[in-house]
Amino acid sequence: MNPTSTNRVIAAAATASLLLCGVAACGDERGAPPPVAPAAGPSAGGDLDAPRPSDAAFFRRFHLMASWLPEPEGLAAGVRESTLVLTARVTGVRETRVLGTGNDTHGFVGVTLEPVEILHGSKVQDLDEITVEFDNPDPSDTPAFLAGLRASLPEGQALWFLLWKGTLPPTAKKDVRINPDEKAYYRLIHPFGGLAVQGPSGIITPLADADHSPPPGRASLARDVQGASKLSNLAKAVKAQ
Amino acid sequence: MSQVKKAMAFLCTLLLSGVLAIVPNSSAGAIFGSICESATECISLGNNKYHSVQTDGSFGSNNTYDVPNMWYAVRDRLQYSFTDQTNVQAYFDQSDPYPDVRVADYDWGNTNWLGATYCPSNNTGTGGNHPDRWCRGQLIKFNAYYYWVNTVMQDWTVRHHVACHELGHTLGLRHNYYVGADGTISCMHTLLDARLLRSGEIGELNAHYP
Repeated sequence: MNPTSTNRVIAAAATASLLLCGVAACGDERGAPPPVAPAAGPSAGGDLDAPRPSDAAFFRRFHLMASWLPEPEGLAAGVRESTLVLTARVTGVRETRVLGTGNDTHGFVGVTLEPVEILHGSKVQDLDEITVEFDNPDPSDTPAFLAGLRASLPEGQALWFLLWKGTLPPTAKKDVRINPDEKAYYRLIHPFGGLAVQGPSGIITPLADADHSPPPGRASLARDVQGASKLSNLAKAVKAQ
Repeated sequence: MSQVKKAMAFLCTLLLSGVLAIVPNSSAGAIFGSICESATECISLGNNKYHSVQTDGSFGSNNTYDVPNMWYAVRDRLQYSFTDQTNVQAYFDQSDPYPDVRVADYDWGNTNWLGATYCPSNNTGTGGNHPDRWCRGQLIKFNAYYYWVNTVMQDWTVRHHVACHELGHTLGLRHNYYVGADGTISCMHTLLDARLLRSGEIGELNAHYP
């Protein structure tokens, strides 16, 4: 995709977002976290656009081959569906939870973030820190996994599209029961385009498959994110939504 | 897992993470073959054409920690997507002491994934080298959250897509983003509305599992 067509996509996405907000009164508030005032932060820029391929390698360790929910259809949808979009630095990793019984346990690793700039949405009021849960499907190896991660924490910023795990999906029934522990964490809105790192020749989406390609005619968050080229461009596009 | 095995897995993770950071598209377009991009994900092949699957615990029951009717989806995909479509003989076998695959379900919460596959540390054997690394005792997980809270897996087509997709991973199939001229896709696509393989994948499986 060339820069001209990228700009067209971003402009179209922004327009579509405005139109959709107009029609749907800016969406269904069901399950939304209690709002707080957006945090102020320094402007995007500085080292935001410095290439960090080693940071991408850190995040790629969370890559999981799985059947995912459908990807948000473009940047506007990715922003709209996220609780919080921000630039942030990683401050640490820790084991958060292990769920299940017997052989059927599933573990999670939390990556804690220090926000640099909140681009969209707001932090969940009751949470002191932003912890993004990733899958650690083999809990027996957790100590070695965490040691490897801690030895190579990212040095730069990344741009995150986050969903608060306490968010109920629009299809949820009214009497549905969710694990209250979920409410302490966020996850990426989608692994393919929900995390962006600056690479030497463009934006890297480290958790997308290398050959990821949306079907013809279908917009893709990952494709729009990659098309922004620089994280500072992407940050501006998010704020324009 | 032995210390040597753990060390090898760690080295594999480090080396491939570094290599892939430099050559991010090195595997672009490949639809078959093992992958070891991360500690959380090493896609493996089966060790032979006989692919037995065993259920764990209350798999597929109507409990809120299970995905109702998932057992039927897995049974049908073993038969119709693999045994009938390819050389692979894929079947349930609760008496196999060394099943190729175990399947489990539970409410693992708002993870974004409906099903996931990997080679756990308590596997019963691994061998070969990439891209032909195999693992016996792979584990498929289906997330009941996506039946009871996010209700997407209440759809028959989605359950069968996810069953076919994860079983395909246990045989070495990767994600396949090809869309036919008629709009048809493989169950290895990340969209959730197919339950069969495409001819290219069938050819890869038949070549590897003669």
